[in-house]
Amino acid sequence: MTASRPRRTLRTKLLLAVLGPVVALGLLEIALRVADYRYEPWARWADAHDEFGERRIYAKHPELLWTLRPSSEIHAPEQGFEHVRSNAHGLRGPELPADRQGDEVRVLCLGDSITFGLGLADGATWPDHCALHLRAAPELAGRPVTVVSAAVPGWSSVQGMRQLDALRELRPDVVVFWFAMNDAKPAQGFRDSAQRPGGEGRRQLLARLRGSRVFQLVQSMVSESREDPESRVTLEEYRSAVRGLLEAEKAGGPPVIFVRTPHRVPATRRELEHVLGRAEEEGAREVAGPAKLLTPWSPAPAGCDSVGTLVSTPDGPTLVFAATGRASTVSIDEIRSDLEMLDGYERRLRSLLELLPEGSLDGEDLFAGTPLHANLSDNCHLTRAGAERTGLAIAREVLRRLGESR
Amino acid sequence: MSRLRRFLSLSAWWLVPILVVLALLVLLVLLLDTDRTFPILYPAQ
Repeated sequence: MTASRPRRTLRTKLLLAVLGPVVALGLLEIALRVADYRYEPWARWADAHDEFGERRIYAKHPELLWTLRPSSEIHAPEQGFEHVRSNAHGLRGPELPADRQGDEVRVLCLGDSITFGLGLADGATWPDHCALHLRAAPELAGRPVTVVSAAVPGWSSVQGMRQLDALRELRPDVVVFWFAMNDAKPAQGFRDSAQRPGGEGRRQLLARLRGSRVFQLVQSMVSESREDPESRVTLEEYRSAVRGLLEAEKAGGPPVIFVRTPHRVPATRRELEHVLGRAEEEGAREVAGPAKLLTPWSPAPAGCDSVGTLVSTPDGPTLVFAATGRASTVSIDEIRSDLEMLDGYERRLRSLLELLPEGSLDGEDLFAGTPLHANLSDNCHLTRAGAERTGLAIAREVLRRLGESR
Repeated sequence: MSRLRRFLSLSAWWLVPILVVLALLVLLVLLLDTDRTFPILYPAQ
């Protein structure tokens, strides 16, 4: 009797050891579901558009964080990709050139979706126009010209600098550095330099685990304990990228053309303030209109105002957008929170742009005196005409810098 | 007293694995959740 007692206890203990966690975590999962607990602050970004999965626009990259899906034809018109051809490096355009041909002129364009040409067809981006102008330039007397567009939507200067390092073998004659728009965006818990992207397997495993509310709870606790960086790239990181490029240039490296990005952020802020003011006057809780247009950097559909006009209708205040049939509802709180986010974004963007050296190409100078709205399709992306003017302005600057360095 | 001790020792047995599982979950979060590589934040909805 006494001999069997410890064995039974041991068996009970082992049973409890296995069943305990299963029952306890199961109950916790049920309780969290009943309470409708969720922690998925990224859902608005990650799941709304599965850009790595089904849509297959991008591929994760251990150093560059992401590139275009390599060697593909990417067609996602609603996201600004019209049969975009990518090369083996996950960049837009043909394969990268190998050996230099004698007196070839090479320009390396580092940038984000503006340089990539989001919304523009192949051949209509500013690097394409820049190449056309350089090839026709009498100063180059018919020398072969290669303009490499090493730009991917969403990229920050951290990714650009890593790309520059990876493409050293191209030995460009001139480098164009056009970043800031994404650098100033909120970090979502990780600065770009602190990110360690995993492969497809890890992404799928994480997506599966996120289905569990217990996992979400643990994740929220871990996230809370982490530092929460304000923007994707810090001022210090941006400053050191700029300084590094200038120092390399002084040490005999290629001249660098910095572009101070043109943008319509203050105009959008004023429009949002106007809408908010009118909505508050009317006592509205929500207004009708495509929600996406209220976010500061998402491209607006063609011919559509970035923020509509609030008008009174029998159904209450309505936000009317030019040339759009796709109305949805936006809550006033959402507008208020977008406005708050926009304020921080604008402040950070200004601080970054101030770090660019004297002699940088100033955004609006690219457009040869034409109004901003004729050149930008939304807050920051170039229209066809904008890309054409930009290509010409940068080609002129390339010629000037080549003349200086000769 | 001995009953209490027995209860505690039994409880500890099933508490420990729960703590281990939670620790594993924390570890999984730390290992897996290391990036926010969303090319375009605030995408068009």
